[in-house]
Amino acid sequence: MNTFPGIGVQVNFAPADRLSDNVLALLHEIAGLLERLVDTGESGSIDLRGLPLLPGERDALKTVLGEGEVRATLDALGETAIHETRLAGVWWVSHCDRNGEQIAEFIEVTRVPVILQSDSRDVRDAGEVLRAQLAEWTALPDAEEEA
Amino acid sequence: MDDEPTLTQRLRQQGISRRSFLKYCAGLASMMALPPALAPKIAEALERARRPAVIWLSFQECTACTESLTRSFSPTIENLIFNVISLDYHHTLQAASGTHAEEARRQSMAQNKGRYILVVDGSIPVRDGGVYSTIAGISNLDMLRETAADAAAIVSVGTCASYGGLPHARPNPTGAVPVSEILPERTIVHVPGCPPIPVVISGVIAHVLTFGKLPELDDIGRPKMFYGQTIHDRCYRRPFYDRNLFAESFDDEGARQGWCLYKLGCKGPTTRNACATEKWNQGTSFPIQSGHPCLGCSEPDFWDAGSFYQALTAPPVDVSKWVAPAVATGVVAGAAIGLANRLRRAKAARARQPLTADDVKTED
Amino acid sequence: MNTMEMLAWVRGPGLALSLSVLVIGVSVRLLEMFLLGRRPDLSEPRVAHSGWYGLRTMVTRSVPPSSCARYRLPAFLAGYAFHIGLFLIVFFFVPHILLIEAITGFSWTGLNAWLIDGVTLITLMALLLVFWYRISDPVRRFLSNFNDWYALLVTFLPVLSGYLAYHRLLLDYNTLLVIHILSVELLLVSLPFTKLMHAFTLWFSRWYNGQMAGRKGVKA
Repeated sequence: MNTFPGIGVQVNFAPADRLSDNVLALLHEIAGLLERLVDTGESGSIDLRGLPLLPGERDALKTVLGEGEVRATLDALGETAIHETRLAGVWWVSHCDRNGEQIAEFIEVTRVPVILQSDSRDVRDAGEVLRAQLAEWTALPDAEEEA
Repeated sequence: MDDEPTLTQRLRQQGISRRSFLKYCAGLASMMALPPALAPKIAEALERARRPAVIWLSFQECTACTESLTRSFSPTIENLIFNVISLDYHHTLQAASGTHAEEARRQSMAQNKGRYILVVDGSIPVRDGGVYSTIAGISNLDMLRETAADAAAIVSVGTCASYGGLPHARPNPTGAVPVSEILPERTIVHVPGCPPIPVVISGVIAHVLTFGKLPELDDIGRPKMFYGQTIHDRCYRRPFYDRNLFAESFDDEGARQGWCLYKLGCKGPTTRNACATEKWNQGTSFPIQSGHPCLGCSEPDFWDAGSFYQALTAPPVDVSKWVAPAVATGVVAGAAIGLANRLRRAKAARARQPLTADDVKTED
Repeated sequence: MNTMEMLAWVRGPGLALSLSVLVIGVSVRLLEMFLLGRRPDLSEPRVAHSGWYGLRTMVTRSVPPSSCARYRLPAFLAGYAFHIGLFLIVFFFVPHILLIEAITGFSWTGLNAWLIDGVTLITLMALLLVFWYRISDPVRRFLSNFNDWYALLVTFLPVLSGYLAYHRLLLDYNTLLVIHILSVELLLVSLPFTKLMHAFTLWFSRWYNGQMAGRKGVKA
């Protein structure tokens, strides 16, 4: 059975001869990280700022990886833009400060980037806040009656 | 001051969310050249961190180190860094002046005895009792010794504080020395560069805050995380070096094609710094990318290491000044020895008593 | 003294000092030999211009005689390989040319770094092979004295340290560079006082042999 037509997302890459060695090396690394994610469930990431890329290579990499289905924007000390690339499990994460200047940029290979997940302490706090608010609202008519 | 709120508490009070904090830590990890996976660990460590006092002393310097730190920063990160530290004394940045400024320094030293971080930029003149640079009538030498005594950690920012820098260059009229020469018994973190890359300065401070200890240093006191590799090793023009493609002048085809600047005097191969990866002006560029060879500004005595525009292999001294007299010496000595040999041979010839057939006969 | 200070010393005063020793040593030894003179040859010369035979021998002696190749071909090839290798490395590696240019003002085109890299590897292996023949063959071992081992070592060290420095192997680059330059300076200082002096005397002795043989009408 041919399973390929069942895949909804089509991955179209630029021909390899147009990619520089640095970009190819990064793509190999991403492939390795994807295999690791499948085998061990371990996430990985690449810090794009710490790489000696030629001018234009970052853009080439971004173009090759393309954009997938998921796009998210965080408003946390400036904007953080996250999108899943055409490759499932490969996320492009770009952190900017309040002036719109980039402070860090990563490629994360994971099921969902940690920063998108709600922190368990925040979840607990949220539950408590909601309970307290509900208690306040339900207590309100009684207080009025007493008055 | 154990009742002081921790960083997370303070950030929460300012309405900064956990995601914002995590994002900040990811930025810090990237800044400290640590693997991104460490960001949650940094967050954990910082949540427990207390706000340390920082005293910043500026001696024989040009303020470029301070400019580098304050100008090139994205304001949010800068605010956060300054949220984490309490900059109690910095005579360029603080509002107080004169005796009030000195008062602030003494007060901070007393209150944070043994816990404050001392940052120094600029070299210290020691000739003639250190009279060539004073602040509020106190010589740099005395102020450094006094302030260093109770400091938890000492960071030398810039090549001047780390290795003497420009004031230390020949003929060094003020007898300028680096901090490490005044305090040989202390471990001093060197953050050299003229000026150092801003994220390297803040990255080192962040490391001390995050992990509560000094980063791993190389043999001349530089944090390995930023100075672990040479400019040449991380240079995007390196492939041109290997392929023998060099710019021969600043205006030839090679320069326009962006070829290797080795022949124009690039000191990249012997220079350890993070310029090639961290870059300058929010990651815009660095000297080599702008077409100028690396000066080697983060290395000791880079001012005295020969011309900036002469190839690295060119000797920094005029060899011909040595070789010309050597040739003369060699010729004279050779001639003398040769003549002496001739005389000896002539003497031997004169003293020779020929053996004749008669001599042979008598012996028989 | 830190690495950069050592580097500054070996690149500057160290180089000037060792070059001076080389120049003094070579000029003393050459002059000493020339001034010794030659015994006048009173016989009738068999050819008109015997000097020409000297010049010819300077070149022809570099061509391998076929008889030599039969005897231990690898050792024979290794000898050629490391001499040609050294020549290419010293005079055609771009950083070396820049050094020569800075001192003498003369400059020429270098070879690709990767090419020099390969030549260096071949040279190192050839030198090791030469060493192996000297140590494994009882006759050669018996004939070898300190001068032979020392000359081999001071030739080998600069090539090895240069190779390690180029590839940043084992040690920090600047440390390797210091070791490399120091080893070169050791070679420069040793050259006039060991059999390495043949780098200079070779040409004169070949000329002498050729000229002498030519004068006698002998093929040399």
